[in-house]
Amino acid sequence: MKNIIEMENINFSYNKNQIFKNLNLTFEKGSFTTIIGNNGSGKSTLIRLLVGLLVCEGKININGLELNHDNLKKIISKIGVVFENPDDQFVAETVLDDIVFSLENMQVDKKEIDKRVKKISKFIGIEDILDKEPHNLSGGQKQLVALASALITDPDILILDEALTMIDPDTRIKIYKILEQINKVNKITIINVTHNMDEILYGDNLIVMDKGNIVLNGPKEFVFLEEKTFNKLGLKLPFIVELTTKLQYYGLIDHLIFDMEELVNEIWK
Amino acid sequence: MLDNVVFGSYYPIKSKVHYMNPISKILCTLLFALMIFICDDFVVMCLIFSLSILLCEMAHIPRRIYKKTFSSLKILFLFIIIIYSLSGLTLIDILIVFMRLSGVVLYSTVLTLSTPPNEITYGLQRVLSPFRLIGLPVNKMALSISLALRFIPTIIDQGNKILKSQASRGVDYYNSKLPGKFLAIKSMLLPMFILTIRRADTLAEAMQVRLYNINAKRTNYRLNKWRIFDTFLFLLHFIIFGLLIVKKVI
Amino acid sequence: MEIKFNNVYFSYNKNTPIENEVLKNINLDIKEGKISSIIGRSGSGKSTLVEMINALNIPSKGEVKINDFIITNKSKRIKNINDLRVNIGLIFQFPEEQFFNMTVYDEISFGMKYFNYKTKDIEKRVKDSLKMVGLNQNYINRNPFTLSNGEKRKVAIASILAFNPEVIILDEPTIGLDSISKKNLIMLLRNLKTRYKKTIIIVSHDNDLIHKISDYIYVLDNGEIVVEGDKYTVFKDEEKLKKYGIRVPNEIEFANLVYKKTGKKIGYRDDINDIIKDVYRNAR
Repeated sequence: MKNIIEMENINFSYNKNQIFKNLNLTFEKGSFTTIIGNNGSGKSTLIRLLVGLLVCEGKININGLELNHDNLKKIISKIGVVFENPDDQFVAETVLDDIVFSLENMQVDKKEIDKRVKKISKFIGIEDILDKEPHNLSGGQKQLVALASALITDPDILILDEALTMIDPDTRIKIYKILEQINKVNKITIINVTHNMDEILYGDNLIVMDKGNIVLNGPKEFVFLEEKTFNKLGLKLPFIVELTTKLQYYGLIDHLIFDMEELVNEIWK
Repeated sequence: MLDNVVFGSYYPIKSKVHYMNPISKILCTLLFALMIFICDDFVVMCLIFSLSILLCEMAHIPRRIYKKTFSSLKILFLFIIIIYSLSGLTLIDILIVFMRLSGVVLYSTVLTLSTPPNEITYGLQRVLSPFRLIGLPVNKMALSISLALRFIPTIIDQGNKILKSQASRGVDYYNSKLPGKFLAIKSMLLPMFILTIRRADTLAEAMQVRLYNINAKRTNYRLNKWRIFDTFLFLLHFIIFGLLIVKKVI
Repeated sequence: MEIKFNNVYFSYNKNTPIENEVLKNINLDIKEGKISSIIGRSGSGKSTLVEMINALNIPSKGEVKINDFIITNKSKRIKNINDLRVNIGLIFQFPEEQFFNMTVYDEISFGMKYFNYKTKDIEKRVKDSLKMVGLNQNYINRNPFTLSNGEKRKVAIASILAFNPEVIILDEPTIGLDSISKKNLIMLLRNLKTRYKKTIIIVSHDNDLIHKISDYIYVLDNGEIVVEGDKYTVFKDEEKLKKYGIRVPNEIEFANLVYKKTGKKIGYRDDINDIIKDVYRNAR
């Protein structure tokens, strides 16, 4: 299966406003895509359609199954989602109870839950806060818990909906490293929806949305070159992107480099 | 900062009582409350009261924790004793009343100190489940209680934040007299209400995506199994209660 | 306007077993009419510090001097505290979450009635504050809950500006805003400083913002001020700042790397085209 998500001819209206008109979009299996757009671009609506929180006209295939009422449960059990507000997805009274919540709903047996708890809490690094209550945790810690809860179900797809907006920079970097690892090593397909331009450096693919339309879509190195579009939409490219594309344009380097140290070394080879 | 006041705090140690199944604990508490209130005889009352002492000892919770609960009830007890003595009841009667009240308080305190909130919720849900047949939304009630426990501290924090925020608009709860305090509360209620509703919406979506189904069967990861000790304690209470009923009827 | 901290310490839950000393030996003197930033990792005490400027917290030791107000650990009830509070506007994170009125006018004018401001005066203040934040007078009758995030935030800021404070403190002003709204907000802050002569204090994680508009920066780590100065002084020692969990702004990181590699100084440029020019000149 090349495409893990296929959206065909999607039409969706909300309160008499047409949000999507004949939208077509696919996500390749194992890809790491960033979706960027200003508020109102429709990116969060797109996510809601994928996880069955909203219903639209058109065909959506996820993991080879058609997204409809009968398949919904099966499909969602393979998708992990992390939402924007760390508080509004923390359901239970302690960290441990929260990360096992999804597994309890899926009626996984206790022994298996034990195994997975040990594994995921070690991987994410939350072993020492398992018995803490949410109001004693920082936003960043809560978001790590949300990530653990999403990954403990062994999903094929991980979706982040503005998940890094409200948390401190240190935790953001920590989460990014985890995302990189699970994408490259565990081959989990990742979709990161954000309006923070710095995050477009993460991942391989970049989709730019505006007013319900897909304006740009492709490998990030190519999408970055569309300076005019970014300017028109009022989206400011990150420093390193602007720098490296301009340096390449003026012939000071021969290919795009997104790591600053590497870039400097290349200029003065 | 206010603590989890609804059910009292959970004191996490290992004891026979802590390992008990929540259903048996709740049933025993109910039976205990029933028997302590229908008993009139002083000697039997002492025996029943000693049951609650026994439970305390088995729970291994430090005495000072109980002191906290009782000290806040000191005034109530004093008040009741005064009223009763004024209405001309004997010392024995007063002692019976005292044992009734403190027995129930002690017993339920042990329950809440030895049972984490989510287990209490689960226990209540199962004990009340027969009432589902007469249309009582037991599962929804249990979910409401458990979410309340989770969110009360968070909502209190948020309320404090908003109060602080309004201080820069000249409305300071902490430094005002009554009209100022009233205005401050007024400025806090609507935003809190809106934020809480919005939160409920988002939370519902998150739970849905995590496959929560209120009526479906689910694994209960942390639940203590029903063990022999549960049966023993339950039977003990049930037999005593049964004997009391029989004695009353004869 | 004077804001001075002299040897200030602050602990939560003092004299209890869970006492937690959050601020230690804070000495600072906020520069009037300038934009001062307070940066530091999560938990370093930034929010506690700014809440003390607004007298929401009282020092455990030491003295906070704000104009004629002197606040020490013995200050039980501060007389005329509202005079202090309205003159130092503190705007928390997500200020739009405090809305509870149905029109922008009511929201901005909230509190003024109880200060016995005359209606004419209130009207003028609302008009002026909308102008200050760059919103059209048409917004007066709109429902604040229907506005966009950026507009909401501006209305929240306007409701503090309506009291015409000398000092404005903003806690994470750009959090949750998209590119356009962020750009607008930065313009607004610059405007407040140069045109309306306000003293501004910003607490933020946003390096981009800090680099663009700070005149003076305080770095907080574990409750202490560890570095202070203008942005060039503070961001000079990248390694030291890493210890405090602070990444220097991109432009400075780049310039430092170039210096390390080539020994050539290319200066901390704000405009990327200038940087390209410098690199071009030095690479040939």
